[in-house]
Amino acid sequence: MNEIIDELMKIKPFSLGFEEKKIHFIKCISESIKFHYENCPDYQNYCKKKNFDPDNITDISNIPFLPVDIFKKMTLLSVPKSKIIKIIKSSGTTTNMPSIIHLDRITANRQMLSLNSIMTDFIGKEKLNLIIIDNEKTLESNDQNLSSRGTAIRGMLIFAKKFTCILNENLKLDSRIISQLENTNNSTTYIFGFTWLIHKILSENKNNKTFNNLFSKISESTVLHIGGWKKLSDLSIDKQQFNKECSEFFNTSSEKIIDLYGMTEQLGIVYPDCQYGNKHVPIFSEILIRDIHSLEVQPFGKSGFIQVISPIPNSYPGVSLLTDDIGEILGIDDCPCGRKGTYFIFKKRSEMADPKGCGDTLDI
Amino acid sequence: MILLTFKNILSDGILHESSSDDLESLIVNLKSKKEWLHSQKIDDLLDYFDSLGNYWKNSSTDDFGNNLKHISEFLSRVNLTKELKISLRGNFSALDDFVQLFDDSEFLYHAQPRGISVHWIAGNVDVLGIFSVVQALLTKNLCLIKVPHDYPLLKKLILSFKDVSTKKISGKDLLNCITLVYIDRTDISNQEILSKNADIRIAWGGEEAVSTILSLKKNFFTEDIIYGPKYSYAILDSEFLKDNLKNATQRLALDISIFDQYACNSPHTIFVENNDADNPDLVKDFAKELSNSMETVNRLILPKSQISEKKSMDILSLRAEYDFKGEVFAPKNTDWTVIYSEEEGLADPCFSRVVFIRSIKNAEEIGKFHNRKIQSIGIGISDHKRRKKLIDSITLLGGDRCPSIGNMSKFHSPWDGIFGMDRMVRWISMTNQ
Repeated sequence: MNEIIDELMKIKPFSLGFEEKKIHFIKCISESIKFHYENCPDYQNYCKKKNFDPDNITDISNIPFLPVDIFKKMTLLSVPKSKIIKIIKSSGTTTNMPSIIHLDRITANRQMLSLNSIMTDFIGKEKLNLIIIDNEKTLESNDQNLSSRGTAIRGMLIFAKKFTCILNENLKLDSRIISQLENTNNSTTYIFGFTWLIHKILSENKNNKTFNNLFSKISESTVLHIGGWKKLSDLSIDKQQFNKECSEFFNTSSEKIIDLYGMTEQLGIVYPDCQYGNKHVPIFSEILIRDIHSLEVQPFGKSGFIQVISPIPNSYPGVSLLTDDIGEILGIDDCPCGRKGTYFIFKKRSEMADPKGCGDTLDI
Repeated sequence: MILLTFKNILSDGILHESSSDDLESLIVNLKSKKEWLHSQKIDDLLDYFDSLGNYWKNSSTDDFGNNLKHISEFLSRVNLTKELKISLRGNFSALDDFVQLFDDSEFLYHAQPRGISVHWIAGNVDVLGIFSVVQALLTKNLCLIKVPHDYPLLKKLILSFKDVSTKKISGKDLLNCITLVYIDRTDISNQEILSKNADIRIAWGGEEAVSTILSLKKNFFTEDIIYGPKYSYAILDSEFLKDNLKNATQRLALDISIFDQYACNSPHTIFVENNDADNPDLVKDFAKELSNSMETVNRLILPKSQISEKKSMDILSLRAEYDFKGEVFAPKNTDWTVIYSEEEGLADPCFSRVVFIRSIKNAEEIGKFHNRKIQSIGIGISDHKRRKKLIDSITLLGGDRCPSIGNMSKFHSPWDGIFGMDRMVRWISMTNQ
């Protein structure tokens, strides 16, 4: 199985048209699902209950999905525990309960290759000066455990010639580090951080002259941000407003503010915005949009839950996941940016639960 | 964008798109209807509500929703007469005059209205508000209703009062005794005004909402009637299911589907007693049969209301979890879900027609899960003696109603342990000379 997926990892992420990609993708996802079916008894039972035969996949829409939060509730493994090298925990924004994802070496390698391949297509091969809007302690792991924030930052370090974390332990701007940065040549600079954290720093430092001075010297930096919009949606801040604030603060144009959509449960795959504001699906994954009530696959232009399908996970059966994010597929192969394959927009996180009635007891 | 934290929706029988009236002046205006309402005879009010019930029953469900039959039955003269009799010590003429109660000849008694009843209505069960509004009007209390953000059905039902008149009562006049306002949860100052002017505070709502209402300052003599937050379940024994399986599941499917399980009387867990080693699949078979009934009820009787994306994901997540650790019976969409597992105890409610089926070796053991948060217990125990004994022992610990299955959502007194109309009046006595 590994060979077929290894071959897939070598293909440029947005180079194949939808139909050509489909041939490669179905082969890989079939192999991956068969692997999980044979090695994870719980997953096999799940597939059986869904009357799903892994030996005969012709259409990805028939692959059963797991809701993304299943990893908050249970541990599913397709490899022996002894093969696990890293355990990743998501932020747990919505329920205060993190997803816990177990990675083996195969999965971790695929994630790195995938991330490298996707990001290189967007930012080029040249190594970057990377300013990280976070504290360097976030990168530290505790035994095998690593937060998803730490993992995402570590993933980005492979693109860095040099990196600097500019927040102190209280997640405030560290003026000492900022002054040091002022004395360096910051020609091609990329800024990377979590969306909510960047917004927090922006809000706290609107009139911070030291920071303004630093970015006035750096022209056209690119801001890459990740981690979702949940916390910002709660503050009623939309993408347009965020991009405007961000471009003013970092002295750059709003086209250079790139939102990376991705999730802990399928790390390594990110969906960055192209210059036309569309998110592109790489060769390593595919997405479907499902109606929130009927769960039927939606046609282009209709919004619903985003389902992500990828053969990258090896240590856990997270190959077909239904997210609680709402998106809409805009088209295939014809985005003006030239990238092939499916492209879509992320619309929002699913809204809060229904209003509570007299049957709502906090606990029983 | 300016967010309106207070909005007058309806006063003097007129629906307002926007109104500059403040809450205090709306209350002064409402109070001016006190004498008119007090002068109406209870017999005439019963006639009016009976006619209103018939009007709703004959209306389209597109206009007034799926629970019309249910509400109309409540409004029938026969039912309300019974409710009044039970609540007002056997003689509801006490609402009109001083009357003798039972065989006491020493005193005469009169049930005076308390004044203004303020109703805090819960979002997802806005229609339940009708029950407390009708009880308040029957006991001649004015109604000030704080509506939820979204309450299309309640508004329609209340407004339709004006479409019905009887010989003695014009619906328009009765509608004048009702004021509807919207007050945002953040608008504490108007919430306080509402509370301070209430002679009766009636709260339908979840734990958080009710706690907020109870924390508001109130008049020293104000009566509080709290409906919710409560949890309901059903319990059946194998003897009961022996000849009744299909009928039992159909009745339970109705109990689950009415109000989409958001009401305090909606069952979330169904316990099936199974101490018969010869029939290990009894409980799972019951779950399967219930799933057929859930589908029928959804398709033919009570179609499911739209749900939010978040609720849809909650349901899918729960289904996946129990696909791993139990058995899930559900359609492809999110209309209903029956979950069988070998777990013990009361399941956390998901709402939105998600019901848990659990086995219990001995029905009497159910008491260990009881507390005051339990409201309705749907009963399907075949032996009458055993049924009474079981209900007595478990309700000592909690639980307020024990209807037979299929009747869990029928509103009647007592509700949450309270004879509502009794709490809405002040009893006056005078020496009988």
